[in-house]
Amino acid sequence: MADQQIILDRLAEGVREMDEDLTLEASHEALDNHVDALTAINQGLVVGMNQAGLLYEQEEYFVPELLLCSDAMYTGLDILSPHIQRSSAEDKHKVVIGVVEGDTHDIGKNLVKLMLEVADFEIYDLGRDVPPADFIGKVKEVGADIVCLSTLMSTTMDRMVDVIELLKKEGLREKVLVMIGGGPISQAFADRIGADAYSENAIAAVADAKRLIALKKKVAV
Amino acid sequence: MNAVPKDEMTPLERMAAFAAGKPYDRIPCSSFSGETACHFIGTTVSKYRHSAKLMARVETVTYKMFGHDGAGVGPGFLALAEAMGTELKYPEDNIPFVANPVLKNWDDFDKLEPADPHKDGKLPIYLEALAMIKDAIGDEVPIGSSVGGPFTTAALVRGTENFLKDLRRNPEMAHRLLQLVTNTTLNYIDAVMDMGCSISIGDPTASGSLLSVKQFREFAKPYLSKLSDRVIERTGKGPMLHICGDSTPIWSDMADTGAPTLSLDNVIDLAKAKKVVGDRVCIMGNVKPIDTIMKGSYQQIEAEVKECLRKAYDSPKGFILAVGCQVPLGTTADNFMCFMNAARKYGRYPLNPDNFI
Repeated sequence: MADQQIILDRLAEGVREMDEDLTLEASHEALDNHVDALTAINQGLVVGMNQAGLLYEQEEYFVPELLLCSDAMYTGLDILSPHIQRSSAEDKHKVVIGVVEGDTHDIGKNLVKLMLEVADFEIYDLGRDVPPADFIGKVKEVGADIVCLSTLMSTTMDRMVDVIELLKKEGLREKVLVMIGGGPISQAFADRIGADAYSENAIAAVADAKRLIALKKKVAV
Repeated sequence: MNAVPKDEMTPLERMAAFAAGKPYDRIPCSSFSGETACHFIGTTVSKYRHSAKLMARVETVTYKMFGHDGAGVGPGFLALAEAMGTELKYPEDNIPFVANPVLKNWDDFDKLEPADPHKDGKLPIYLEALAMIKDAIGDEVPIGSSVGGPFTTAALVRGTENFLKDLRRNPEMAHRLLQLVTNTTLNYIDAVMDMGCSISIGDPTASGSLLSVKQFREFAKPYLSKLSDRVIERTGKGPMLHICGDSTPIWSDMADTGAPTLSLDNVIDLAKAKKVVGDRVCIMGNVKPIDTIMKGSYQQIEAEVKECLRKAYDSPKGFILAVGCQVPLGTTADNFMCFMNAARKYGRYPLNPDNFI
């Protein structure tokens, strides 16, 4: 179906080229032409966001561009999501994400959230300035596979330790993978506090999340 | 390990000799202790940030303890944004953060004015503290004030995410805001210069971790140059410039702004910086503030001081031993002392590579 491919390409282009108007228009076109909403998202919007991620890796795009692609992506999602036919939530891996207590810098966290969403993870976003107990509560509530902790400030890095300690205390540490990231975070810090992964950026976070999940399944088998 | 040699010069004498290319006693050294040191006098960050007296006390006490080569306080980017109307939240014992940027809507732009350092926000507190510090130890040590680069401050006036999007969506307004913030900063710089203190600039949001080189050149560099020009006009010498994260692609641009000294983040390879830009500017850096100064053993601190010396001691325009970025709260005074003493032990003049192998 040639028409469908043209619409999907326009959706991808709208996101990749930071063009909210085009994304909006193409999203309506998709619905008007009976393109399946999930297809429009996965083979249109998501393709565009992944292309943007690639451009970021190639240093064609930087954070301002990713933020605008992200805006376009959400514009499309707002229109298409209500039309998704079936819920595929059951088999998705669940991620709880937030900026640790005392820090409100959330640009990095939002980009990680979006890229994980695009990679078909189910995201529970706790926002910013999140107390350790809130992470634990949400992990328990949804049975999360991964918890992602973010901070930009060196002064709040140790709140990540608090979350890990609390997971241990609650007997949850073996059940949930811990990924961390943000300006002052390093692999050395991740090793020291016993996190499962340090991700340098939002693109790397997706690869890390997939790798950890695969590894965990392998171990479980 | 052998005993720690005593300093033979005051920081003022040392820095003057260093600048003139004359012999000095040990490598100049900056520990960026700042508000982290508020714990050493038993106060909290919030109390410190609201009191000129406490700021002055922290600076004088830590100088007497460690003997580093500069003292002072400054509004940085947070207090400059605050003086323009952005609302900060002050946790009792942690770094303040932006609760509410003043310019969420561009329609409010015309209501903004450049801040008056003698009246607005907490700027008068910083000026008062500077005067007290200068009075107490200004005859021994250079006194300076750190300000935010216009890019970082503007991001806090507008909200960082919005501002980053403005670079593409609304570049014209972004420039108008940058100019307004620059005017605020120049007002503050003038007040500091009037007191005979120096200026350093930190512009963390203008980092290569967020912006392309092109964006840095269009939105950060011209305004950093304006600050530098003013400082040069008043004192004959530009301000030290610090940009966080990976600044490798913009070293030449940073030097172009007129900054005579670049303070480099610990993610940077000093050997590379020396090679690329060492013939234009003095290089300053870059012991890891968290992994080494805060969490490292004495052995790790000494080893990294030696590594920095090894990489950059012979940089053509000079090398100042420093921490790569601000040291976090909770760092012990012993670790700061260990860092300074490593400079005293291994950075004796004339710098000798045999001492830091």
